[in-house]
Amino acid sequence: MDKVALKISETELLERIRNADEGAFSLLYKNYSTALYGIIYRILKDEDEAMDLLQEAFVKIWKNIMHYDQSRGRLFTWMSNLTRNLTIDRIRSADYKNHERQNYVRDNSIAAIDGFKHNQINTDIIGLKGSIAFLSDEHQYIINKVYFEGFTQADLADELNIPLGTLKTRLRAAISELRKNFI
Amino acid sequence: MENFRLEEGDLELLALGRLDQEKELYIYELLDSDSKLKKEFEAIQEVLEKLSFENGIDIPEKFDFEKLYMKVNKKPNGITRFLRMSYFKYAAIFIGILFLGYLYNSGIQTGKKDILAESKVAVPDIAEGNSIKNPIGNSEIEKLFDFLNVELREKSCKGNFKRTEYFLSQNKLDITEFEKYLSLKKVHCDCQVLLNLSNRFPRNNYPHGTRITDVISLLKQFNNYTPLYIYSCI
Repeated sequence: MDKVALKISETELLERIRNADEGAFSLLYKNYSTALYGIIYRILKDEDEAMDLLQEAFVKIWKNIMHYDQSRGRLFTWMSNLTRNLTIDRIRSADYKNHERQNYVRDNSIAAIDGFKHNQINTDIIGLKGSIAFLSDEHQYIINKVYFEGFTQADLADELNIPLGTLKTRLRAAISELRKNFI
Repeated sequence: MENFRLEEGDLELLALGRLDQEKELYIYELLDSDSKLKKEFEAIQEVLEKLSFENGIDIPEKFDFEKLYMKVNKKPNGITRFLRMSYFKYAAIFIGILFLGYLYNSGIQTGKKDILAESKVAVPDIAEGNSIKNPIGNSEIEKLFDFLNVELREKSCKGNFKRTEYFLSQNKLDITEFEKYLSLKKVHCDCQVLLNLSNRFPRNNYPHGTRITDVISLLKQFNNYTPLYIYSCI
């Protein structure tokens, strides 16, 4: 699947959804599933859990899609934030913490202690590709943590031992650098 | 809102869904009034979207899309649909139920009236000089009442004319003709001979089988209600 080009434009897709087009859900899934699965998998790091959450995310997206407000941002922004929040909720749930197969628990204190090791594992297994590779290590690290691993800015500032304002500046710089690479 | 100000990195955090709701609303207001800022926000979203697509991961083959498709196209069951209805619909249903209750209750009352009317018709022809003449004569029928009065106090009515037939045969009276007469008077068993042909016997003295007796006594015990229709329709 071409991971950059959409199979159908966002506007056309939304129109089909609003018109209750029978194939609209399949198109939505084809357009966005790999991108959303990438976000989920990088947070959960477990294929079965990630597939289960992808199901849950699409069900929630579909149930709420009529509430999506185009004036508040792009469809994918809304979908990815919904999916990321759902995934973080799963990580924080008691059930997930007790999951026998998962040794990694997204508890801030553990994440801080294990941060370096975890980052190494993550890069080895599911390293980021594309334009992000042109960024400095620090910017790659920040984007990976905030965008793909669901860290809050406060958690990450704590982990990096830098003020929150500094983290926000670095995040902005990282995204600006990305934009230059895309142009 | 006055306490907020747009800080460096806020647009990026908004695109990442990492701002609290109040600040989100504040920035959305700013975006509505500032096209340059809106363009900037659009560009940030675009780059993050491209980043996600570049780093998308193929869905494993074992992923069950059919299951997902069924889930999103699942039609809500009856209870869910009911719970999703507006309060107006609840009110309409409630009124409907009340109306049906009223109709049902009216039906029962009407039925009771009919039964009462019917039971009046069944009052003995001795008293009313009813045109349907009993074929055995008034003195014999009084003897029959006395006989059944004793018999049915000892043993429940079995829902047939066994005792009446015994009396008729013992007194060499025409069973067939008398049963035709009973049928016309809507009398279908021994106890109804007493209850529907004569008004001199208290209704609760002649239990019509154990189960019926139980129901009657239970009803009487709880609300002092004597279901007349039980006597007249068995």
